[in-house]
Amino acid sequence: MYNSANTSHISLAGETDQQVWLQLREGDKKAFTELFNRYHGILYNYGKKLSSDSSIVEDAVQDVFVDIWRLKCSLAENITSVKFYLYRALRRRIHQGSEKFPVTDEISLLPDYLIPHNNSDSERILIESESAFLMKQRINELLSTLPERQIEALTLRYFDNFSTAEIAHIMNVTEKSVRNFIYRALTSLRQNQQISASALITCLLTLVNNLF
Amino acid sequence: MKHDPYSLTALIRSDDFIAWVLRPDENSEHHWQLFLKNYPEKTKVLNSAREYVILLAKDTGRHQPSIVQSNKMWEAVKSQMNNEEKPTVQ
Repeated sequence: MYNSANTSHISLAGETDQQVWLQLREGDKKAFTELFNRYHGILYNYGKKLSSDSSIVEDAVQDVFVDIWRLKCSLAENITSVKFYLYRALRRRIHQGSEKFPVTDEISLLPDYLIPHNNSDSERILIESESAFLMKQRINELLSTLPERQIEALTLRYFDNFSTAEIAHIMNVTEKSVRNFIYRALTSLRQNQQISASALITCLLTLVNNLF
Repeated sequence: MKHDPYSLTALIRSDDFIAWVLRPDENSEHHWQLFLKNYPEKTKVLNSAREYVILLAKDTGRHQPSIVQSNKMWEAVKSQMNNEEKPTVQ
């Protein structure tokens, strides 16, 4: 899953993140290398959802690791999740640079009652018998048009396997907002379809009007 | 609107379902196979939802760095580590 460009130290491969973390705190370079190998690739992937500029993302990933090495002695011994810690650090790095988002930004939220557990409408979008090819295309299209924060939430949920609570902490929003981002992203599948349908109708109407 | 926790969109957003698709273990495998046995009419929905979850995971993970980028980042980190240690080492 992650890019293993530096695989010379494989002796730590079987260790848990927590074990690697503890060794790193003691100043173990192998442990540090292992942590970098485990996480730099997926951190970069996540960073690319926050900034499209590759060099900004590369710098931010580097900075996160440099900071860890520099501060190793003062790092908390017991952190619940190393991965979670790294994602938070990376996000802070990237947003510090751009100051794009105020911390408490929770714009355009749907109230909870508008998020149905099962929206029978949205069933129409995700047509069950759809071919794999169409599904793939649809997802591709979707992910190139969604607002950044929805993509961020989708990435943390589906690729990075974080829970809703963890995503809320990483993104500095409420859990409700996270559910909201994901719900909206998925319903965009339908909206995209509706837009193309209505565009087609507009087109036809214009044509008809022009004819007469 | 009837509440169906096993509708397509509900499945795509369900923690249990996502966990089973992306990181199946004995428990989840047992749970969902049993579910399919009891509700064979849900097979199609389940397969589609599964497909979507996999596609979402793949597509949101498509920005991995190239080997060149990985090496570049590692070299940058390493040089900073060495800089920091120069006063103490030798």
